[in-house]
Amino acid sequence: MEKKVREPGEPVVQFALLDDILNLARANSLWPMTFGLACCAIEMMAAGASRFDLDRIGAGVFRPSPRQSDVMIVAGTIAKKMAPAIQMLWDQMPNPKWCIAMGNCAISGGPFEYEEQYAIVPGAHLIVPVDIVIPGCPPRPEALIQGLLALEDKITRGEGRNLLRRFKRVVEA
Amino acid sequence: MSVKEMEKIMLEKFPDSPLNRDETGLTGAAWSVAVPISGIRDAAKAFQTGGFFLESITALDFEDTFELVYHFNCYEPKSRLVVRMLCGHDQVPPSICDIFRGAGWLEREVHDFFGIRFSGNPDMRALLLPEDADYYPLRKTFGKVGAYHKREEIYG
Repeated sequence: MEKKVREPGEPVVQFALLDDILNLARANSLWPMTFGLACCAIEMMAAGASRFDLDRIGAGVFRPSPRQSDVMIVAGTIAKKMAPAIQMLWDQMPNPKWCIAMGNCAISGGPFEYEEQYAIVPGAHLIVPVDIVIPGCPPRPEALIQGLLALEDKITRGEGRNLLRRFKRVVEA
Repeated sequence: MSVKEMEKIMLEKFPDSPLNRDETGLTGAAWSVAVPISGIRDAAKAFQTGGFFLESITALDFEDTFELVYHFNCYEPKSRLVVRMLCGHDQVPPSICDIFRGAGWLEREVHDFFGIRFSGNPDMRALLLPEDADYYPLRKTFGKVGAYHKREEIYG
């Protein structure tokens, strides 16, 4: 019999239908952590403000404490001195939790990664598990919204199963 | 205390040291004086009693020597003054963190990036680099840097 590997944070006992409903609720009320590292954070703030309005997809409730947050948006360059603080914030978040690496710096170091650089951690995946990456330098707020929608689809295991998804794809005739 | 009075004090204290005036104002400093390594604490004390504050400490790495650069300023127009000090790669300059309290962190920064230890600074832990850093990034021997010259080759 094939042994199923349990993902970290996944409950031991699973109830299929109940889990689906819970995941639907989780996906559509993602609370990000108030947490920015560099210029990507400015775009994140713009995405949270009225013009782009993350509240439309339930992700506008930026929590000041990691203990109340569901998703960590790593928005910016991760300096080596900052990495332990980010790890600690991640550890303080309760399960289930997700991480979005926003911008080239958080994905791979971006323009600061070169041979013999000594100051930054090239990629958020080296310190925390990353679910979604959003490329861009910095990504526009629309990109962050798309990233959050992609995370929603990941939580509900498929775009078709995200019954509360606010933005449906336009099907071209 | 004005720039002129400060200049007089410096010339009295260091009669042998060259003092370069900048009449054009292009460098951003009224004048700069090169003091010996033993005279930096005297100079700092003079600036302290003159009502100046310390703006920055930085260093330059040459093939034959380090050059430490201290910037002093006060709240008068055009009164930034520079003290330069040659310091060999194996020499230990004295700290001025008991004269200017803010010098402590500036000296730690210089120690981070150049590996210059300051004697008398009680706290020489890494300030900006990771605690376990064993490299000095702003030294010209760090990484792939081709331009490593003696001081005379650059200043003439």
